[in-house]
Amino acid sequence: MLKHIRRELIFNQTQLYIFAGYMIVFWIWIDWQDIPFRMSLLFLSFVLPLFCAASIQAREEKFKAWTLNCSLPTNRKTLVLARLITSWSLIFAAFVFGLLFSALFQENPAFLSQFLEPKSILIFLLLSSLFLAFLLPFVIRFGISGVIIGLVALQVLGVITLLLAQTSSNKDNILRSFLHSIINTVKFFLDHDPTPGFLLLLFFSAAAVNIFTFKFSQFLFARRDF
Amino acid sequence: MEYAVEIENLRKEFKGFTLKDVSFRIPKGYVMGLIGPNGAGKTTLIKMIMNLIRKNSGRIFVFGKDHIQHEAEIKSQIGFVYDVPCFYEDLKLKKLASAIAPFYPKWNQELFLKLMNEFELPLGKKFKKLSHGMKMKFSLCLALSHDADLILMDEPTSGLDPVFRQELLAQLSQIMLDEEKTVLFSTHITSDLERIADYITFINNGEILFSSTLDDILGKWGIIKAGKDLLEKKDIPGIMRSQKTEYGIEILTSNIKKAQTILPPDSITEKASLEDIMYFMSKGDKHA
Amino acid sequence: MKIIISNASQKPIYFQIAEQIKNQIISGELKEGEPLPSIRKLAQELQISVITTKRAYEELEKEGFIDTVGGKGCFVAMQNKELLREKKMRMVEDTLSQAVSDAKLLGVRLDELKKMLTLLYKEEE
Repeated sequence: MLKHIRRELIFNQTQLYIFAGYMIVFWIWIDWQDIPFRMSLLFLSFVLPLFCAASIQAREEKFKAWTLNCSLPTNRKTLVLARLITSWSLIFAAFVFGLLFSALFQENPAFLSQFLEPKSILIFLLLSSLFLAFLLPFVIRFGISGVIIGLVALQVLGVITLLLAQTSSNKDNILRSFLHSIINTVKFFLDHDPTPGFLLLLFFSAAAVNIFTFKFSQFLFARRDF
Repeated sequence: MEYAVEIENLRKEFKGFTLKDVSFRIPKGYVMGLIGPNGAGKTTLIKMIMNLIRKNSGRIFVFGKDHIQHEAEIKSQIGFVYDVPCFYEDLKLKKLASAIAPFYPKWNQELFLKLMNEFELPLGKKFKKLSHGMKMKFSLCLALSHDADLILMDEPTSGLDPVFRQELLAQLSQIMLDEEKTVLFSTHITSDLERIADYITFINNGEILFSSTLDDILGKWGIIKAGKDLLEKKDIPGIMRSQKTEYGIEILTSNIKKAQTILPPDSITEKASLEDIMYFMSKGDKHA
Repeated sequence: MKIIISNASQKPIYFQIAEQIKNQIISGELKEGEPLPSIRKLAQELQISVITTKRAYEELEKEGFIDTVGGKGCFVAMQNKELLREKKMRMVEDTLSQAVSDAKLLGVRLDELKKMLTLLYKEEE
């Protein structure tokens, strides 16, 4: 696996510099514009996976490098796993780089310390892994257009859910209460320190989602013709 | 006889094109030329061996092993040179090589450097800065640096100037001095094959029309030029295809010696080049 | 060893190779025990298929002109001096019979032919 990650990093090394540059811009921006912490965290959790998946995939498509990658002595399943691990590594590295940059060059330790709280890091990991898990099958199946399709799908899903919740009758309907309970849970989580039991449940659910989408992505990738 | 590649009843359906019941074998230690017009299925076939394109049915064995069950193991012994470059073009050659090398257990860095030198490929140059011929040579260099036992080449000489083509063919000749190496070379430039191939397989419209030794083809196949009424008068032994011309008829036969015995005195027989054969087999009228 | 192949010739390539090597052995250009290039080396040099060179060598081995020593390669076989002389004689005989049939066709008489032969023989000395 190490040689796979090394391969992906060498092939996309220019992207690493762009990532770093992007993080620098981001941290300066949230400091300058006084973006609230929660907003920044949320934003980071969605943008990093998106950027990561998109840029690696776009490069691979531009150079038709899948022909090379699939011709190497390996199999399709391993390639998907390598792509996933590399993506996580990049997301994590970008996050840490951002923190370091802020610590060394910015004068807002309060802001920084909020990011360093275990809860923040957990939320970041949770949201970014879920988002990446959601995107992965789309990207594996459709390539770079998969990113767009995935985002559109997410939006459509959100809109449909909201519409359904709104247009249903005023009586207590399941969907509405389901949505409310989710929103309340997230609010609760953000406002309080969660119990260990809750954390464990969250962890396993997130892991389950990730594993499912990963296996599904492997399945999809094995069926592609290049 | 050991076979490097064995293909049995391979089938793949696309919209508008089907690879049907393709079967042939490549003996170990020889060069197999895969010829056919554009769109015949040559690239598809090579990609299917590498599992870049999935088959609908059929079996492929490389060095006696199923090509999917032992995918990684087999690919470590295969060198590939595709017709379209598949490398990250903004990277330097040495970077590309360093990313790929760890995947091959038999990678020989010394050999790689020596070959790069011999091929006159500068390590520090970016891939996009190379000419088409040099890109091809780089692919070949990588393929040779891990002591690949099977080398798959998809149209390696098309788009190359004559000097480069000679160089590439000379390189291949050098490689074939080692009787452990096998090469599959697909092309529509048949004159290249006449100098290096041992076996020829002809594919057209997704079907294998024949597979034989070059020796047999150049020795036994021939073209008969005669008057139009020849076909009506006689059964020509080994007749494959015919083509009516303005003033007579041209017949491609796979047994020129036998055919010569029954021909009228005013007919002419000539040796058939691979190009002639490719033309007749694609365009001529079929016979039995 | 000198080999020149003609693509235009009616004779198959393996035959041309075998014939030329045979002649060189008979004429003594290729000495007994001399090593021959490997089939692959020869194929590379002549830019032909290794199957063709293999066939040529197989023909030569069948007729007793060369020996294959496993692992070492092919060598010119020890020629039985008598057999070699006989082979050479046959070659001369073939050429002469061609000359005779040509002469008959053109209407050249035997004594004229003998005169021609004597002149040519003496000329070469």
